[in-house]
Amino acid sequence: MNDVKKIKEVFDDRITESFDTEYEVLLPGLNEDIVKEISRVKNEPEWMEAVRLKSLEIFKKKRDPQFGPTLEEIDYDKVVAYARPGAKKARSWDEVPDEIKEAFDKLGIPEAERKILAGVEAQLDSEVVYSHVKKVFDKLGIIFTDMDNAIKKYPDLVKDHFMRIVPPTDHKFAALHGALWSGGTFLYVPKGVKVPMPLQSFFMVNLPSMGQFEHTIIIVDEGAQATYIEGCSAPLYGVHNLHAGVVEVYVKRGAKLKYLTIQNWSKSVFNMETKRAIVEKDGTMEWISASFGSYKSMVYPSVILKGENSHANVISVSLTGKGQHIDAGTKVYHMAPRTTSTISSKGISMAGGWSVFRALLRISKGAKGAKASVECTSVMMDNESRSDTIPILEILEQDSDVGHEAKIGRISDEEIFYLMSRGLSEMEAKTLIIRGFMEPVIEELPLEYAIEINRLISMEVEGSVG
Amino acid sequence: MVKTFELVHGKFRSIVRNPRRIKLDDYGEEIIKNLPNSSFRMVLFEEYKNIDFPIWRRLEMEGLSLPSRPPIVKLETNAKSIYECSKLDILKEYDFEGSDRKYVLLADIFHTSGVCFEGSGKISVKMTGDSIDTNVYVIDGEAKIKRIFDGNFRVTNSRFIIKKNAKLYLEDLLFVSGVEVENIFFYIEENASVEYNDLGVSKGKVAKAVFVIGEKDSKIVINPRVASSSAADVLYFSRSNVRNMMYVDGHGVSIGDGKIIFRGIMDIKKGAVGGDYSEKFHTLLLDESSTFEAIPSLYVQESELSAQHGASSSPIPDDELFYLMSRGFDLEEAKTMIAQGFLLDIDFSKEAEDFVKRVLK
Repeated sequence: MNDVKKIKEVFDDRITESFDTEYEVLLPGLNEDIVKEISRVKNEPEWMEAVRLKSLEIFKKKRDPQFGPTLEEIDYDKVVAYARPGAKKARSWDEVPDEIKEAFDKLGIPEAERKILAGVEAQLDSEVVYSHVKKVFDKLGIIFTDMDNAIKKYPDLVKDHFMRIVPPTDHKFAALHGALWSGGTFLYVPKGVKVPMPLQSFFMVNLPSMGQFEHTIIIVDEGAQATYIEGCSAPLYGVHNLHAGVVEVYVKRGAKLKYLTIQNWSKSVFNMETKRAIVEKDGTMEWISASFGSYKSMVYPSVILKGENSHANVISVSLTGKGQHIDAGTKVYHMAPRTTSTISSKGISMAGGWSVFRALLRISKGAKGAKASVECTSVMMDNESRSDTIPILEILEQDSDVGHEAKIGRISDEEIFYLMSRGLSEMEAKTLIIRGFMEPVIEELPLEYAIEINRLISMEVEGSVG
Repeated sequence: MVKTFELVHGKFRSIVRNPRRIKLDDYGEEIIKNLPNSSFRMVLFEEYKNIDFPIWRRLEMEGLSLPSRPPIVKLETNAKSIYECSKLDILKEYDFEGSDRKYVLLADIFHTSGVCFEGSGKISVKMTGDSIDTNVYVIDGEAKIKRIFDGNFRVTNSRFIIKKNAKLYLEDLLFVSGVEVENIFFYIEENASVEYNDLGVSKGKVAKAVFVIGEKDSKIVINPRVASSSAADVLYFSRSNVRNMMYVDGHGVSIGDGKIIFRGIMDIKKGAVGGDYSEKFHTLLLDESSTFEAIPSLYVQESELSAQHGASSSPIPDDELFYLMSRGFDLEEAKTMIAQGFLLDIDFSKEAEDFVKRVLK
């Protein structure tokens, strides 16, 4: 490992613009030595090092995706694959160092939210810096921990579920993730347990050129239910950061998971995250996301409805502003009879941003009685922006019922005029209308997150008006 | 040349996926030398010879098996032949990429037949047999054109230039038992309009693409009716940077192992203020192994407009089948009647019913 002086030599004065947290980092670059070093410092079992090295080989052979934003700006040789904050893991919020608290302050996480957070797994760059799992979870047998700890304490459970739904062969960024992954969350909810409150994690990138490759595994066992909230953010740097996390969700028979994401990466981040869930008989998976940040994104949360009568519900809202090219959407695969899914997307593009919504809906042969609907509504705040919708419906089963609708339009001048005539400024009027448009997601969130989203909307609209 | 995809916005660019390609036995210069207007064809051949045949994954079509020589179709028409056309430069003036550049060039270079029409009035075109043809229509008044193709193999282009204030009513009736690759280009001038009723019935593979560029206040309504027991991939494309209108309302019937693919691309640029764009596709899956795909996409850079798309698929509703069966029809008869009604719900000529019956059998 290199010390912090070495980092300052690498990043020169940019490091001083960052939060004043000490780090141990590996030098930028992507090669076998770096990958082995990550495995060594994390004291991983042999099988994990083998996964990393195999993934690296796959990565070298993979080309960029043949759709979506161009990615030639990503310089893999400059990506810092691993950084450990100098802070030790804290048992309580009081023990978390002030500079890290300050980082959360800058991201606008309200004080009340911190107090309410039930079980926090906050990842500052690559390591969990704060971990607090309530005793009640222990009593219920819920495992909610960071991935490094999970590998040590539950090796078989991790091995059986690690990169099984998202294998390194899937695409270039899955392979990169397999080689460099670090940190993330492991959640296991035992049979029949209903988690009494939302579980929450927060991820942030806190160094220029830092890569964020967290891995999250969630297993909701038969008949269990849980809600998981994930937030992510990063300060703005003069260089690009890369986020290539992976989320694997296993929803067992009759289980239910609601997974909420509030994505507010800074507008220097390439967000190349892969999220996938597999749902067994009578299970339900819900992806609910609100996306505001990143420079370029390619994120398509997917659900594989493997079991009969399983269900997927995907709701997303996004706000794409100045200097952003966001290519996002959803994939749902109906693999079994009587599976149902609903996809609802709402997108706003403004201030010259480019928003692309993609959906892939496949009704496989044999998925008799499947029902699915895709609905997409986009609003353009001006004619400097761009909004594309590209749904793909593949219906291979006759006995199925599928519908899709999409609309693109703008907020009418009459609506804005009406609100302004009641004393609101143009910005307030637009903000109010956008909040109403995003209501389907906002209403799913705990109060603290809803406040945060409303604040983000105001900030984005403020930047686009006048 | 009108490119099919323009995925650029400010400093940002999106990747345009190119199909994999395959080298196949192809026509060469020796064939061109024996065709009329060979010098014109040779100019296009310079581009053609460097492009291999595309592999179309969704259509499961790897290139094209060409007849040893370009076939000559039986043509019955009251219009002029393409060989009598004084304006072959239109092919270059209204050049486009199409569903694949290879096939647009193939038809323009190796055509042995086609129609050239300029003016207004009633035109009928009937082609029977195998064909490589290219066609030019310049409409400067009110025109009603009916075109029928009945054959096994066809690669074809059609360019329609609809002059200012002109009106075109176009009816295409197609039956293909083998392979058809068709590219149609509409250039619609200011305040001109097109109504296009398009019936495509196939027992073989069909790849059809319709491209529309419209000037201010132009209007086009397309009613595709597609039935296939093999595979049909149809694309409706429009690009606008002024106020105009395009409606596509497609019906499909997928029969037996048939697969219907409806695609729409509405590329609406800045300036299309007040434009109105809509594409809808609905497909009936007639049998257990019938399938359907839809990719109705919108690319929008103007906020003051109306743009929407929709797609749906379903089996034939049980209550409709029950109604007919309770009146004495057996299951197959009932299915056929419902499919027929779904395809022929608009005003087609009498030949349409025969084409539909041939595939439903």
